[in-house]
Amino acid sequence: MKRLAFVLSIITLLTIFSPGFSIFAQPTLTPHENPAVAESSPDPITLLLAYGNVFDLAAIRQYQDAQSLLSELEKTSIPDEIRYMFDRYNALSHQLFSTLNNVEFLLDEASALFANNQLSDAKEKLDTAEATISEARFLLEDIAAATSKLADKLAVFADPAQSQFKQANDHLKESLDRLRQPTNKLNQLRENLELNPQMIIKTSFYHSTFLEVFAPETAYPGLPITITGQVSSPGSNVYRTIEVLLDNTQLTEETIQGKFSLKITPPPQTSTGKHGLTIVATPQGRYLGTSKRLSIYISRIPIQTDIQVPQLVILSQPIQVSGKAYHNLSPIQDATVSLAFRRSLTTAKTTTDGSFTAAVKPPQLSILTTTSSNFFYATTTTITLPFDLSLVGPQEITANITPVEPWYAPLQIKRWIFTVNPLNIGLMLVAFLSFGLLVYNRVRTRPSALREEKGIPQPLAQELPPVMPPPEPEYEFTGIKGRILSAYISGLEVVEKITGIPMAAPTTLREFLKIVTPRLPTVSQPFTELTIIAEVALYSAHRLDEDTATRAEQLANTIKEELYSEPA
Amino acid sequence: MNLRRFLAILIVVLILILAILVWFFPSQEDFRTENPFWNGTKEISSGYPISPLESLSNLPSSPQGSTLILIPYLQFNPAELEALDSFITRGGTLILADDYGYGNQILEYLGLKARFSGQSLLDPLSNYKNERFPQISHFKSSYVTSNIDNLIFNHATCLTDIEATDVLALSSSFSFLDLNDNRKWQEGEPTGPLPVISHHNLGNGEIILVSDPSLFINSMETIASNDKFIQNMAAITKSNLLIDQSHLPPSNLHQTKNLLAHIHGLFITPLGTLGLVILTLTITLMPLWHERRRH
Repeated sequence: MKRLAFVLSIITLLTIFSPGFSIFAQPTLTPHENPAVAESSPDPITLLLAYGNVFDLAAIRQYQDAQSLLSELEKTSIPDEIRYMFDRYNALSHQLFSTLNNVEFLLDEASALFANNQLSDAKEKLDTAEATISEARFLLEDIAAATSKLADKLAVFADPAQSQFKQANDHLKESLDRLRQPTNKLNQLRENLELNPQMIIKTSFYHSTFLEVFAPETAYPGLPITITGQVSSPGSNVYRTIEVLLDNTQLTEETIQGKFSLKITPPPQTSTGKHGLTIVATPQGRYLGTSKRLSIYISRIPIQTDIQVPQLVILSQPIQVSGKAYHNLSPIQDATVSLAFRRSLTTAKTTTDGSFTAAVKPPQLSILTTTSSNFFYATTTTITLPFDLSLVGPQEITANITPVEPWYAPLQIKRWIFTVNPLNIGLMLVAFLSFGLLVYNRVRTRPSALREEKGIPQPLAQELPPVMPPPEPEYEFTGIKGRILSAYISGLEVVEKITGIPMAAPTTLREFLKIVTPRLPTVSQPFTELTIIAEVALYSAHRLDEDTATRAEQLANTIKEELYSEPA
Repeated sequence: MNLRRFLAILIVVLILILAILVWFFPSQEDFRTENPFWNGTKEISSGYPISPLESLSNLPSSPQGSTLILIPYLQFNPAELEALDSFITRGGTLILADDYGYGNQILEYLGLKARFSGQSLLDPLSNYKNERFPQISHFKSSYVTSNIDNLIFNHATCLTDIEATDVLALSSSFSFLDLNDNRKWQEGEPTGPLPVISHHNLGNGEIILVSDPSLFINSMETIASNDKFIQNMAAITKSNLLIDQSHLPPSNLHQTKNLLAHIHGLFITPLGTLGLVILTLTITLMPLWHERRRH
């Protein structure tokens, strides 16, 4: 039954608590997934379309935009097996766009030279342009071949049934074909310029900008540092605007040409630690912008101080502290010196030689009190009392030195001074003495109280009545059992009398036998037998006979005779 | 032992076992600082001096130098919005990291024009594994983005109505907002670059918007330069770096743990301990008392 109850109860409880098991379930869906188990799914279609866009931009001679988009494509997540081919493809594309850009630049230069009647120089530029165009065509053929190979590799990752991949591939091939147009156009321009040097041509090219920067690794807030460097573009030396930013804050903007040396000052509130220093050459006409990011560590210069505090201070008096703040023997002027001692605070300033002196007052207790000599006119005022719970011992005084120059680091100094508080010591002594006197007085008055107590007469000791044993119960026994028990009782009486050991109420017959046997060597055996017979009569269901009763009476008589006949 | 007593003991034992299981079972909730699994924030809370905040009423009274990371997946009441406003205007820094939650409620209250788009930002090319993990590599120089090469988001969104000067990071040119959730770009869907991190000054403090709170979870912290972003947040914090846990949807496990913690809290008070001791003694000594009465 219990087993059934056990099983049923388990089932019932599980059923009751089963809704609670949902607490172990996964949380509701949230918008993120485990990146460790996320499936990798390259998108070859979008990649081909993106390349198509890149070539389309180059086809309309927007080489800078094409380069930018290509640079973004380089960060694409690509399967490892085609990573190398992908990188080479991008490098070839970059080279092609730079080459086309160069052709435009050469043609523009040739046109300018023709306009200045510098025919031989212009011819030279045209020859260089022709060679560069050949190079561009060569690159274009390489890229066309590589495009087919790349598409074949990417097809592995595309769904073969999707027609979109084929469309994207076709679009890329068309874009590549369109890219031949600027090459042909540039060649046409070159030929036209050769035939008609006075012709005005329209070119679309950009100048790359190169930036070189050198800056110290560490700077201090409020202290200027010098940044040097050079900004250049191939074949030109125009004025460029340089911006210097510390994190997001512009520190300076200047127009320079070629090499530069700029003084910048980190703002005073700049926090210590690693910061980013960015130098930007802004875009200017056909000149591309560029930037360089460096790490710079902002630190604060530690200062030193010599501080003198008294060794021993009596707390009712102010604590005189003096010292000097400096860095590498140079004094720190106008620095704020804050001295803190327990609850008291005082401030001072360092002088021109960096020294300072201040006095810290002991902790004060302000009490509002009424002062008045006129009943009808009362005022309240605050009085301060030196209040400190300490008696004697070392206590800490803290000095915080905060320089006014932001490039110096604040300094905190702690010193221990030994203080003695005579007021508290005096009060404590008075308290102890008073307590001691009190105790002494109490002890002195105590003996008279005791003598008075002795004077009280003691009550006479009353004689206690002798202890009388309780009257013996009267037994009435009948039959054989009665005879046995009567015999036992008569024997018992004699034993009690002779041994002086009464049988107590909770004592059993056997226990009493055990107690008195050592005192009755002569009758131990008959008393033992009589005890056994009495036990049988009292507790046993055994039917007693006449002989047993007679035997009990005999044993009782024997015991009486033996004990009464013994000498006292 | 009679049946009634047996059932009573059995029920008590089962309840105790269940309570112990719940108490020690690790949390599996998103963004919880005690969750050691891929979707928790135990890694950053143990690697940085981050304190979990169970209520916005516990924000420091002097918030200068304090930073609060807030992932708003539950609505805010007026008192909480006021506490946030006070925290920021009095010098605190709020990092509001949201994608599909209630971040716009806060922005509206603070009077900012910026908003979280709430649509999925996908990047089929510049990504980690697939388009739902867009790679962010356009950064504006700032202490927030210092030393960061790229970040990887996880089911992110983007920011809208952001001034160009406030933008700190942009998604790639290949990203787009998937307005119809079909994971493919279609005509009309905005394309990248799209702003994903921005910075705004408010009173004496500042607020940094991040359009993906998953940057802070354990599994994302070790990818790309995500850990550097968190380092930068810790570096700007001079006093308290806090992460709000009160606006994360609580699961049944969390609620049950809270209930057990509350009961535990009652028992460790002097009165509670005394009551428990009296109860234990009563239960233990009751059979003896019954025995005595019977005799």
